[in-house]
Amino acid sequence: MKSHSIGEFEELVLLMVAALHDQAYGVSILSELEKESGKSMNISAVHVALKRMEEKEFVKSRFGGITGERGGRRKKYYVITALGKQVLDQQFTLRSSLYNRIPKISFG
Amino acid sequence: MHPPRKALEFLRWFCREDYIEEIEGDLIELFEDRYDKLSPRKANRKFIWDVIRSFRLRNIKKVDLSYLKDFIMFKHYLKIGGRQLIKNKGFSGVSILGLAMGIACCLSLFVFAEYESSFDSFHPYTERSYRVVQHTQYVDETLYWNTTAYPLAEALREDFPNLDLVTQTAGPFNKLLTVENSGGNNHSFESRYTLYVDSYYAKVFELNWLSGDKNTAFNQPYSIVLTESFAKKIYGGSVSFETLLGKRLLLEGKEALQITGIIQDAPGNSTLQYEFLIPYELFRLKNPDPASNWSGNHGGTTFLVASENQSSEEIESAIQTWQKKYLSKEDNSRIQYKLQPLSQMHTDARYGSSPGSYNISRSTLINARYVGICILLIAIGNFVNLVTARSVNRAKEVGIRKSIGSSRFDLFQQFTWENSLIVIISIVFSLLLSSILFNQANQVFSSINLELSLKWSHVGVILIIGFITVLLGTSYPALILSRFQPLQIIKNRVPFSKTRGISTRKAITVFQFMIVQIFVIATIIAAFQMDLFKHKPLGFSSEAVLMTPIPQADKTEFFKNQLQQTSNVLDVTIGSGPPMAVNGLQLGSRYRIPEMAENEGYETELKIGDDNYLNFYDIELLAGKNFMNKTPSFNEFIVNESLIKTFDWTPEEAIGRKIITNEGEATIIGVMKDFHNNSLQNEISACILINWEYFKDKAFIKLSNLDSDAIRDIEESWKKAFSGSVFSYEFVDDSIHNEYFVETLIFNGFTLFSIVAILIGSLGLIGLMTFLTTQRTKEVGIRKVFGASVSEIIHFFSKEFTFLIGVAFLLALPITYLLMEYWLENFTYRITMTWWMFICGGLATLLIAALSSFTQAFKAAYANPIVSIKTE
Repeated sequence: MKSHSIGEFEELVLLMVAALHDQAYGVSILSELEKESGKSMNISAVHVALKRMEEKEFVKSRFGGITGERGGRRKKYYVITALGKQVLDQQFTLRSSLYNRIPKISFG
Repeated sequence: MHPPRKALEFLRWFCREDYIEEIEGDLIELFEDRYDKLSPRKANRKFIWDVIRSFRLRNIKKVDLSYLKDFIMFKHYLKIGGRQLIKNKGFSGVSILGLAMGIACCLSLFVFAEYESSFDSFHPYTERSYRVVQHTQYVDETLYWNTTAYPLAEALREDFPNLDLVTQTAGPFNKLLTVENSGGNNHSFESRYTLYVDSYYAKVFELNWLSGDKNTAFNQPYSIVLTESFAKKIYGGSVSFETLLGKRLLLEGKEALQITGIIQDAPGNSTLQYEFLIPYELFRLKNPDPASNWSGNHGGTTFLVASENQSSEEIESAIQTWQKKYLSKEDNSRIQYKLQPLSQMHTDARYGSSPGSYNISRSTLINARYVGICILLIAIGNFVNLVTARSVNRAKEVGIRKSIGSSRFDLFQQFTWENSLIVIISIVFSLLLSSILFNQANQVFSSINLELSLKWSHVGVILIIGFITVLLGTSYPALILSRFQPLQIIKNRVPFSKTRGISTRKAITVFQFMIVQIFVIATIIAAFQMDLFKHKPLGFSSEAVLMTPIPQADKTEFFKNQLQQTSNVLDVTIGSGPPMAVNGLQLGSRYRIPEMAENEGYETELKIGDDNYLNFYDIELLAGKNFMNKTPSFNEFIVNESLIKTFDWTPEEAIGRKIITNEGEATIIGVMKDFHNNSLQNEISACILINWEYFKDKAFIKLSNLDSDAIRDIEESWKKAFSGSVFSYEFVDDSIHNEYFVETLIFNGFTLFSIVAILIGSLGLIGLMTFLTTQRTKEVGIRKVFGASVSEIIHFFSKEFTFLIGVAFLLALPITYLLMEYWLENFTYRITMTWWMFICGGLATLLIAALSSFTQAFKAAYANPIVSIKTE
């Protein structure tokens, strides 16, 4: 049984995989993340996150077709699994429940 | 648009196969994006950065670590081997030294043989270049000449247009070269190797031009091409060769020659030696008669290059039918021209050696290789014996290794590596040893030039020797060691299966000492033969006789008068050469009696000497008397015994008979007792002594003492008589000794190699004895306690070796006898082998072996038994 823990960056990548739905591969994930966060990231970080999550079975992958671009290399598309979605949900529930516990008064 | 190649290659190299598709694709896509959006440079930089960032453990290929096990074990074996070497310093030293000497000898002999076989192999068309040699068939014998008639080359060139190149040379001759200095202060230089060559010579043979134009250098008859060393001798070492072109030199004080080129010296492995080259055209101008004469054979050599599809036999038979066009009927019937490949000039002794070079037969070279292999085998045998004997010490280690799971193959590997380490160290040492040996050899024999270089042939030989040594030297001990049974070892039983291990060792020892004794006995026999060369009575006395050339015959009397006023001079005679032909100089002729037809007759040597010649050299007259005419004339012959034997005359009968030679007719007035007029490899031949006016170009001076003052006095008188020439001299004894150059070379080499063989053998014995005595310390102690005497214990240790050496001696006897009989057959005057030469060799070996092994046996025998028994 694989651990269900997930890191912060992994979570971002997983969210992006889910958001891009079927069009998520290394470069698209990277560029979307950079666009959303406004920070520059390195592609290898994305790769590592994807591989780890694939091992944890949060995502699964398939190869696309060969095109003239990318030096003839195929894209590897990632989609979120049910388990991945579940982890995201848990994270979301956890965060929102914690968020909701912030007393309004503090920032009155 | 292409991402940086190196970075991409790197990515592909490290990235695991199941990731590469994605990572490379993504990286390239990013690169392509950035290439358009940013700039190519930035894109490149970022791509490289991406690759570097992707270089992380997760992405790296799975490394196959299984081969590391071998590597780790290899390191382990080397470490253990190194420790063993350092721990047993004596043993390692003995093994390495023995092996290094053996390898060095073998290597040196192979390099020597290779050098000798490399003669004349560096010319542009070596494969199809030939020297034209002449076989002259007489009734009683065939004469072999390396020279031919002078007009041959030109005639061949005209009538055989399909030959690629034909060149004619004359010489080498002895010539004088004079540099004219301002103020009339001239310097003269003598050269023994003056070669006349035509303009085709430079195409047939490799000449390396340092300056001058090779195409035009021989166009003008009055030109001269100097070799580098001769130019330096004349003009000093620092002269620039370009400035020498056009300078004038006088040949023989007469003809002015212009320098048209400077070439490198003829290499040492060239049969054709020269100090300078002069156009053949000049020779033809100055010697029109010999140069156009087909009936003489006066020192001209023709070389030709066949075209690619011609065989030498075809050319030979074509010449055979063609030659009648030029040769007289008589010559045509007895002369055969043969083509000798350049590569055989050095190894075919029939034609004699060219001046400045020597012949060494092919079989000698093959034998040199065999000797090398034999010594290597002794050394390897020695090594195997030492290592096998010592292996008992490693038995415990083997037992433990086997118990914890080493396979037999692992152990085999271990000991092979360990011994290979010793072999490799020995090879390094042997390279050092052989370069020292080459240095020595080059100094002793100035005409050879050996060196180790990075040539393929040398590296190849070293590798092959190394491979053989590793193969033979390490496999057997490793096999023995890896065979040990752990159970036996743990039970503390000596792991040698007594019968097999020891019998192999015995066989190796016998083999080793057989070769050692062959060497030793052969050296002793060869020493006696060399002694015969040096000390055999030659029939004349040449002690303290100095020989110097006479450049001007008309000044001879003046020179003799000068000498008579010099102290230290005992006697003087003038002649063509010493009684024994030296430096390959001999005047040949043919003789017959008037009753015989003109084309019959026999070979004879003509020796020219004045009326003092016989007295001077103590040559005995059997009948008749010395020359009566004080003045030279061609009417009195003094002949030797060999000559009159052809007619079955007694000395007394011979007196007064008439003899006809090619040069003329004269009466026999005296018969000399035979003296050795040829070096001792050859028989005494017929010889006629004439007091003729020609060819008296040498003075022989007997000195009362041989110090440098005496020679300086002679030089002074000589210079007074022949001003403008260069004084040179040699001692007749030295020249005679030089006739045995090849034999001396072989003998010295052989002596050295037998010493090495004995040394290696003794080293092995010392090693074995040390080992055996330490192994049996306790046994010796107990024997002594039970009353064994010291001599009994020494006997106990040495009886085996004595027995083995005895067996080896019996095996060596017939082999040596046959080998030496074969060698001695080369010489007409040879020693006969006697039984005591063999016994001496055997005893000498036994003695040396005994000395080396007995020291160890003594040590063991004298040890205090209490100490040896007490120690555990």
